[in-house]
Amino acid sequence: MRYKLYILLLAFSLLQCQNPLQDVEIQVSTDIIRYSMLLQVEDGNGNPVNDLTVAINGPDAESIYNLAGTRTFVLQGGVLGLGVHPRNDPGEDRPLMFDVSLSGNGYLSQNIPVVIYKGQLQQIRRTDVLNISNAPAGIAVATPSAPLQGGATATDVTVETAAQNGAAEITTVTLPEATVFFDAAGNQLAGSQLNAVIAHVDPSKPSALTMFPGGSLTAASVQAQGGNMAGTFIPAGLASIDMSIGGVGVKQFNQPVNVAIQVDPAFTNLSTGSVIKAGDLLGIYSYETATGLWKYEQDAPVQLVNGKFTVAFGTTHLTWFMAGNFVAGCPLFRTVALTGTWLTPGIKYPMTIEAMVGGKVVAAVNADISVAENQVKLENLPEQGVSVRVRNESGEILATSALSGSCGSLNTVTLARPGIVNKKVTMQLHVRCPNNVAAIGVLPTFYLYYRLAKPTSDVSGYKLLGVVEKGFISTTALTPGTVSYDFKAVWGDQVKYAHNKTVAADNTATVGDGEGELIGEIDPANNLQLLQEKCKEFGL
Amino acid sequence: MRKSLLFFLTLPCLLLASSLHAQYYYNERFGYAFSEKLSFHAGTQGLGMGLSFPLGQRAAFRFGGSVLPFNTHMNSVIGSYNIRSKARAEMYNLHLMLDWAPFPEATTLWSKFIATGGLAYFFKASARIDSHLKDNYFYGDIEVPKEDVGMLRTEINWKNKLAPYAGIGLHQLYISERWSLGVSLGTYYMTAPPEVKMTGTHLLAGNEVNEGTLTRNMSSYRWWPVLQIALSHDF
Repeated sequence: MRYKLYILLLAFSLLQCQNPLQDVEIQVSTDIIRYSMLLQVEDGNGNPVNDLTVAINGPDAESIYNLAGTRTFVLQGGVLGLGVHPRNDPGEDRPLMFDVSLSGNGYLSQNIPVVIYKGQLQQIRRTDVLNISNAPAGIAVATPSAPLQGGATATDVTVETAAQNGAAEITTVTLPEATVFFDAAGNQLAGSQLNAVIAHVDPSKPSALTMFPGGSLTAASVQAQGGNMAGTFIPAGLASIDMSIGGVGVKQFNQPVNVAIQVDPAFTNLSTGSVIKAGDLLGIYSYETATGLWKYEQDAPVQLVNGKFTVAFGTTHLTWFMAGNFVAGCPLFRTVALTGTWLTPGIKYPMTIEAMVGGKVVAAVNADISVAENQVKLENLPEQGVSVRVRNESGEILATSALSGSCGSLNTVTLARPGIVNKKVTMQLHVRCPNNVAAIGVLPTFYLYYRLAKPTSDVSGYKLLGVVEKGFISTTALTPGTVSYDFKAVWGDQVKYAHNKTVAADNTATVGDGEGELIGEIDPANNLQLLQEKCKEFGL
Repeated sequence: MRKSLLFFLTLPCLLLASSLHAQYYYNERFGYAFSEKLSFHAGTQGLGMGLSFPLGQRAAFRFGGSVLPFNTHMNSVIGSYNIRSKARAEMYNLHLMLDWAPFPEATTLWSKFIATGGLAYFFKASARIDSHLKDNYFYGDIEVPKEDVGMLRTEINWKNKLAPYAGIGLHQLYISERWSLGVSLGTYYMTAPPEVKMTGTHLLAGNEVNEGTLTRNMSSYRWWPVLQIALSHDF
């Protein structure tokens, strides 16, 4: 029976003389990764940072891949895209937790903890990494060195920062004579010169606070006085002290060295409720970048030294030190729902939600808010004294509201109508591979950024427009018709730019290589090659 | 294998046997050419039955039906993907044929030669091909198992209900007094081009864009060949 029918098929095909599969292309969707996040790394001055080494650590590190499905983690255009292996999506009571550690020559390392909850399909985190030679306003960096004899200090050595770059206060480190140095493993270090990098961060300057270790003033797990808990730091003084001998990092000393941090004179002490004065006790907490953990060290009194409020304490280890208040936080997160009568269903509005405690922004979350998805999770915040401030993508403040109720309660924040609400612009971005005629049916999901058109060489100033889901995005951030924009798309492991485009209210742009198509214009030949390679990869 | 070998050996043997017999059945009402018979056929239009009634001396009309459900597996390569497909065709028809014997008085096998023309009513003429990737799919280093990649279903439907038939054959190859064999070779012409529908699941969703191309490619697939053998019983 079977063979007779093969003859049938053969006869059938021969009779017709046309290959039924001609020009048929099988497309396999690239939407394998369900949960993703983008980490945007800047240097505090608005410049994206690329030359950092990225490592993923933490309990769920094994489940984290880049957006192209491999385990090579590279910053491109200041953006790191991470995706979760579809087999290990977060569960109902099991969020994914991992750390992203960023390090590089000339930069102060950062360790960003990330939590991905079930349902939190996309996430954008912003973090700043301190460029030692180009610190933002409010941070003074000093790179002193001191001679050593037999790997130890010969005399008392004092190294300090200077009051510069918008930092009015300084940090001073005094190493007594015969101080011996150890690395992280406890091995004694030998060398003839001690090199130090001291960064004094002025906590009264928001531009400086972006460098707070971990990326936010909240922390999930602090070894506090009362035990391990989540909480928020309100710093009066903040300094990073790094030392090395012969290129190896110093982590411990054989005897306490003295650290004196001059604190912000306008600091409101939450313990007293009033401005800081001599005699107040501030908590001293230390932070280890490699582990990403904060630890309570001691309480230190505020003293007036040379006309400056100062806290001084001894320590046998490095690196970051914070002097100020620590407020225990709610376990996990608090939820805020954003509403507004002007929100149009079906459109996503990128917003920045800032949590404020004690007058300082302690955490900032970027989210695409829509009528259907309007809840934001804010982690590790205290139960009392928190307010949120919501800004839209142009920076306009749409709400400032104090949070009430207990940790688990849902707070609803009403957003005021922004000054300019643009018409809805929809974009349907297809990808057409060079050898095809029709647009591909498989539409990618990727993050799209935009800015007002600028010269191509300038790569700064991109703001998130939103997530393009399966090629489609709907937004009111763009003015259709007259305004020229630059776009940046992060897809898989690639960042593609499109310059000087105006948008129509309804935009169907085809990313390909024909006329009128939105392909990357920087290095078109190379971009086309990348597109073709991706197309080949997908069998097209 | 053995079954088809048997088939290919049987036919020439029978032909040889019947010609050696040199017995030609003479029907008193209708002469040599045709007789009233009930036949069972098997072939590329499926399995079926038919009733023949002679019309004059040289012709007969035959009313019958066929069902062809058939399944097979196929391997193909599309682009860079190895595809494995399960194909299933369903062609169910009722047909009315007119058989004509041009040389009923010939002394050779030509007396058994008939030409056939007719019309069939296809109350189902469709094929369904379920395809999936043969190998596991890798996105970067992430392996996506075949089940999660999904399946592509292609449905091909000939929407015409009526299809004309033309063919030739040999009939009345008697193997006993009332039982005879016949062989036909012909084709149906589907008056409408096939309609193609594709649906993909999971990661293969979105392949519906190939519908237009496939429809275009198959627009000339209108000929449905028939090669069959029939076993008839005279009344």
